[in-house]
Amino acid sequence: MDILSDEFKQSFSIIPPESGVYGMVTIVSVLILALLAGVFLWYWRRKDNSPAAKPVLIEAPPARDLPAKYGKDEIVLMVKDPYWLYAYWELSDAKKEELRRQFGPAAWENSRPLLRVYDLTDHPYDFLRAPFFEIAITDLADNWYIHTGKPCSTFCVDLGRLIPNYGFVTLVRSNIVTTPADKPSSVIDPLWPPVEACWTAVERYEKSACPSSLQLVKIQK
Amino acid sequence: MPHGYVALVLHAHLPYVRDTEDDFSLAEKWYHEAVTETYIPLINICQRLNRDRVPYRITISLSPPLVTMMADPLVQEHYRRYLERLRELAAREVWRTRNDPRFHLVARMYQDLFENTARTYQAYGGNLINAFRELQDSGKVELITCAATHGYLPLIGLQREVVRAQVEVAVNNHRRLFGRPPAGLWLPECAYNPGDDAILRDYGLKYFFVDAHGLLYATPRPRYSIFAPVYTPAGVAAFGRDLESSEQVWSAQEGYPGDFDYREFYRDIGYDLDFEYIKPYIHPTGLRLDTGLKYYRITGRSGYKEPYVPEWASFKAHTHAGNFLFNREQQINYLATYMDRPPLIICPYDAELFGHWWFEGPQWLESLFRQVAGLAHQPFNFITPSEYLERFPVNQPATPCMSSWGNNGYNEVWLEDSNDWIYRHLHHASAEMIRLANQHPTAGGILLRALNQAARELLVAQSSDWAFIMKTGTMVEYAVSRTKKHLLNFWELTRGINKNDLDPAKVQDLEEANNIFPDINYRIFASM
Repeated sequence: MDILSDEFKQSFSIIPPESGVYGMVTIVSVLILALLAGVFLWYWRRKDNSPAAKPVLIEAPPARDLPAKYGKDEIVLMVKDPYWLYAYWELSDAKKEELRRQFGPAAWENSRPLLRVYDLTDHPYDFLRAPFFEIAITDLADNWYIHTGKPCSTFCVDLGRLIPNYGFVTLVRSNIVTTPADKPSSVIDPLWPPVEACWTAVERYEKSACPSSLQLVKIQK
Repeated sequence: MPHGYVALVLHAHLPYVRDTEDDFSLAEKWYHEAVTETYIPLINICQRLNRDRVPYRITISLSPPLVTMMADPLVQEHYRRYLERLRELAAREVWRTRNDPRFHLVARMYQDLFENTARTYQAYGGNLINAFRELQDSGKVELITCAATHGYLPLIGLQREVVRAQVEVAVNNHRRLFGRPPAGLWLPECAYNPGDDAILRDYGLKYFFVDAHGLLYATPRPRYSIFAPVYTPAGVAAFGRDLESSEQVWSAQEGYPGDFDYREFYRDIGYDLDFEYIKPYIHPTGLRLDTGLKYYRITGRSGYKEPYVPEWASFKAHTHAGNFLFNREQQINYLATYMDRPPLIICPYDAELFGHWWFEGPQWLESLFRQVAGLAHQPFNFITPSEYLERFPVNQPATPCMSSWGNNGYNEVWLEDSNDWIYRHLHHASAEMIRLANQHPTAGGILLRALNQAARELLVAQSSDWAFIMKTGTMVEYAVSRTKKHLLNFWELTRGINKNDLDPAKVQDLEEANNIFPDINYRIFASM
């Protein structure tokens, strides 16, 4: 405290008492300057002590870009996890023309794009009897994440259009995929009946799920 | 017969980052660091254990891009230069810290480490393939392969030909470098898609690994859950990752690597020291980088760090190895009471965890093998999957479920907003490659070279690493530009092939820039 007050006395003594308003301004500006210098010094030292930002890898961006379209009519279906699928697609202008030839010149503009998701689990390859649901999409989209919520199930997706006064028209049909299980199977091989101890031993850890290498990378950053 | 078995599996992989243009490549530095901190220490451990006749077994998966880089003269030369600079820095550090006992010991430790690294590197003429081959021939180390460029098979494998190509290239490359076919294959990211096992069988592969739930959710339900393998419909054995031992090592909170006495990864003299002093050892542009010399221990959860004490850390590694041993013994004793065969515990880890991330990991590993060997009663034996299958050739038939060891256990890490766009391009390029391979049953001259190079560019574009980096959000641009670069090279080559207008100089440029798999044959992409 003594040192501090000494410093204050000194700084006051620089300014003649008769300087009045100017004196006050000088005192304030000296204090502000001192404060700024302090902050700057503090920041500088801190900056020196803390590690600098991680460098980024530099690779010259390619001169050209990948094609937006490959001139195909297709929809491809992929599995994300037991509950989600992912589909991407593209349609050529020829396909649009085909629709117009069939349903009139305004068929494309007057119809709405739809994804029809067939659940083929209980009706393999039987698209007429398989239950399905539809997702209204937009003409701007060329990919979609589809929530099915159904593990161990087989799906196929049609990309098509809903034509007024006619109904759904399929434009392209996807590959068929099967979602993975999210729990132990109820199927038991009588020759290999489960040993209970082996199963109780893993129960404790089953739901805790170890961090993946991705999480580890994130923790480390 | 022992009470049970433990199979330690290390998966070593880095994407193909050989750089011909840049004198100082940041991506190649990943490789340099992994060689110094993980691969050479691993080789040294096995050599010491062999010398001391310690009975141990370990399975090491060496990914094809990694071994191709190890065998590449240019990459070898770059590493030699890197190591020289590192040794020079360590020597200067020993001098700089001479009056500071807190850091001097640590600097000396690094100097010893790097000198030892250099001795090992020189002993094998800079070619670490020779070292691994020697270990393989000792019979203690089982080397296996991984898919050609670590492609994420469930997502890139829309066409069966792609999975086939990834597997065939890997098996051929392994045989070329190690003189014998691999017994098993590490599925990249443990990503299994039912049906891929048939392709593994076609190439003589006897086993692969899945994450625990891959076996737990198999159909029918496996008798021993994850404590014995199952045979897939194609007759290939699927081994499941043990959850309990994984958590002990991996867990961010309770895992061994987070111990406060262990070395802190994120305090490096590359950032801490005076700029003028450290300048020759960081990026030529003055960008501060990790040098590998890190002087602090984790200390605690805050940013405050204390100097590293090598002796304390070694003691902890030893203690943790003892703890791991104890827990496995308990686990095995319990399971063995109920099982009609000895339980098998599969402990797979990323190799780079040991040494690179967890600096004391190699000491832990060596201590584990030595402690088990030193016990009068044998609590369990270390084993390789091949040996296990020899002893227990009868296993339950079951189909593991589609799974991976990524976050939440399925495909979501490699298929999400940041990286889903790549699959459209990868699938189309694959379709074109398959078409070309079918169209040209034989090719010669420049056409052959262009087709082979197109296959290389496609394979490198298929690396799961690019999607993974896009997801992690750091260095995204690098991953995006690598994906695009290889695909654009691919399309440029196919344009030339289709128009019968190939520029030999251009093909040669591409061959020199990306020379992965020198003996590749584009016919691997042909339909059966």
